[in-house]
Amino acid sequence: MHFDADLHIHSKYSKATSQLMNIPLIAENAKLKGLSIVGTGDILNPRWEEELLKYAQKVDEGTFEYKGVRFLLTTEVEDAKRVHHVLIFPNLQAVHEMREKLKHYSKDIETEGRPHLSLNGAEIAELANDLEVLIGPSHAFTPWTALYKEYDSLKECYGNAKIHFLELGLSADSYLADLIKAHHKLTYLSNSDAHSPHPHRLGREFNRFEIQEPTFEEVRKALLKRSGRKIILNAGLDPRLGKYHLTACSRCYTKYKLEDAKRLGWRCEKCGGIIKKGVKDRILELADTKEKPEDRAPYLHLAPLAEIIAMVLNKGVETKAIKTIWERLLKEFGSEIRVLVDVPIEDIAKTIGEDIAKAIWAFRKEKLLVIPGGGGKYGEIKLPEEIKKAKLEDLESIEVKQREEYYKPKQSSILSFLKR
Amino acid sequence: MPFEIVFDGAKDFADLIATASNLIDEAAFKVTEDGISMRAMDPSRVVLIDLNLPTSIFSKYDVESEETIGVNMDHFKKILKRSKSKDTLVLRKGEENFLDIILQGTATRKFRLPLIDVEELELELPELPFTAKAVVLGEVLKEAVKDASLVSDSLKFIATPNELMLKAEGETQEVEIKLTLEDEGLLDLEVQEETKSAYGISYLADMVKGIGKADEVIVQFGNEMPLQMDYPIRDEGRLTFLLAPRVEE
Repeated sequence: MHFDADLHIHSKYSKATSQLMNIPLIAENAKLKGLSIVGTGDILNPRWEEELLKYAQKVDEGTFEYKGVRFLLTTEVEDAKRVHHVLIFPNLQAVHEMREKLKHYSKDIETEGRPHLSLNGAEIAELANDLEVLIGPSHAFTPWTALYKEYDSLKECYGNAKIHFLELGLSADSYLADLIKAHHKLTYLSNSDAHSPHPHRLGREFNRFEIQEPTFEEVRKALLKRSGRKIILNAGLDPRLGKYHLTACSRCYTKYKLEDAKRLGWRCEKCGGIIKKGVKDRILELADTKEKPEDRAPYLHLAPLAEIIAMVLNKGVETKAIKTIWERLLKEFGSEIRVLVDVPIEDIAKTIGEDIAKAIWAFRKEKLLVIPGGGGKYGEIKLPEEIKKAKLEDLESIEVKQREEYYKPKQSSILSFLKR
Repeated sequence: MPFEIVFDGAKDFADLIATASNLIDEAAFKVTEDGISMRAMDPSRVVLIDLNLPTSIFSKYDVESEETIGVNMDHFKKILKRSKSKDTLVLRKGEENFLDIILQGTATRKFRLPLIDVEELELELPELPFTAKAVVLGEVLKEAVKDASLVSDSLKFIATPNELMLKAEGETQEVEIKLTLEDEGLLDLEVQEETKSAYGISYLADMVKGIGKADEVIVQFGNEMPLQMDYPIRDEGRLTFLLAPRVEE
């Protein structure tokens, strides 16, 4: 059977997270999104654990359920080098033992959702291995708090400790991550890292598991590719929409080619801000293969439905008008993924009108204009004018040109005039 | 590999290091039997700095063997800033990895600066086909950079056979500084063909900050080529900046 899961979110106890991140609202929104399994996130925080146990029923040692949505015991931790790791626990006992052990290495484990630890990646992974906790790097390629901002390989970070998966993050997909051969043996996770339960955040990336039932044990087998269990689809943002896809200034978001950023000493020529290396450039720097592993699940590029509606109506994605239409589409067709991928365009047009239907068609055919993200700003989607004006039946014949726009620095380098 | 080098007029040396340190954080000074030299690039790779101080400008130059010493320019500058114009500067190094900076005046003051590892820049100075050369007073450049920074972030150098013009254009304002050989500020002008090129104000400002108003500065440039500025130091020494041009739009 197929179950869709989002295994990395945060509770209201994490920094910069919505107060709406409580168990009932997460469950309610997960259901609307079509998710069967959600990671609790932040489970090392004792108050969050209390809240989970207050609402959810125990299914087995590592699986809990509230209103039809299954919760697995997960957290994210930050290591001494500010590299983030995702942990998935087999049971509450392992959560408690880990919490006790980490108390000696963390000042905020009792209060924060994502605790900061004075241990390195290898030390955390060894602890996880001892307690049979699954572990892997969070959003592996992002430039502030991920493995590849600090290290050039998995081995450099984790040493000889075992890891069980690699989380792609919003700015990368399987195609990009597979350019590094050491990843080929790992299962990829595409999770939302949501800080709010809004439909364009929770489940904006998810994993489709082929497992017998939605439990920790079945998910564990799938991550380790055992007993025929596996992930059959990673779905997530078009990596171009991620906040760190291209190399860009973290203050004014001006996008730079890698060679220009290097030459400018990672200082933005326009505003003096720090330029952050994009995920795409970081992966291309490390790329060592063009082969693909045979068992890699396909990656489906998604754009949040709420954002597509917001784009057409030209309104804020969190406004009531957008939520109303989003709910109407879901009520009619069941889940967001069905609306985005499966339902005939004509049916959507009949329910909600041609404008939104045309935008969903353009999304499916990859004919939306994408303004890539970078420097901490999400990418944007735009509906091309020619699609806006066209009739539904004429859409197939329309060609759309994508452009990647980089800032061309005004200052040349002295290196281009020197003899080496 | 010990050495002892003496320079009369510590303040001049302090100004020199202050000018170079505006653009670089650390530098490797090569001390050889011919003199002291240093070559470095600013972190954004836009300016190359080349310093050449032959033995003749020092009152004592006692170097046993060739050596390269790495210094933090900011620390070096701050120590030298403590000098008075009549002080004599002694740079001394023994077997240890320290540079003694001694200021001899009304008292003898000795500072110890730890040496650091600095990568030496293996770059040859190019022979660039400059088409314009002017000798101007330091004051002219200092004022022009200040004028231009009011309206723009770049300054255009335009040379014709009889005139050197510095021009900055902002969105609404502009400023023009004209110099002919009639003006006191322009001491010499050699132009092979009309030459035009623009350079970043912030870099120019760092390059001219430490120069004296009465210093004679040699400026050379070409069409969309770097700008070379040479400051003679006690006639035989030289501090050179090579600044990459702005990209034409």
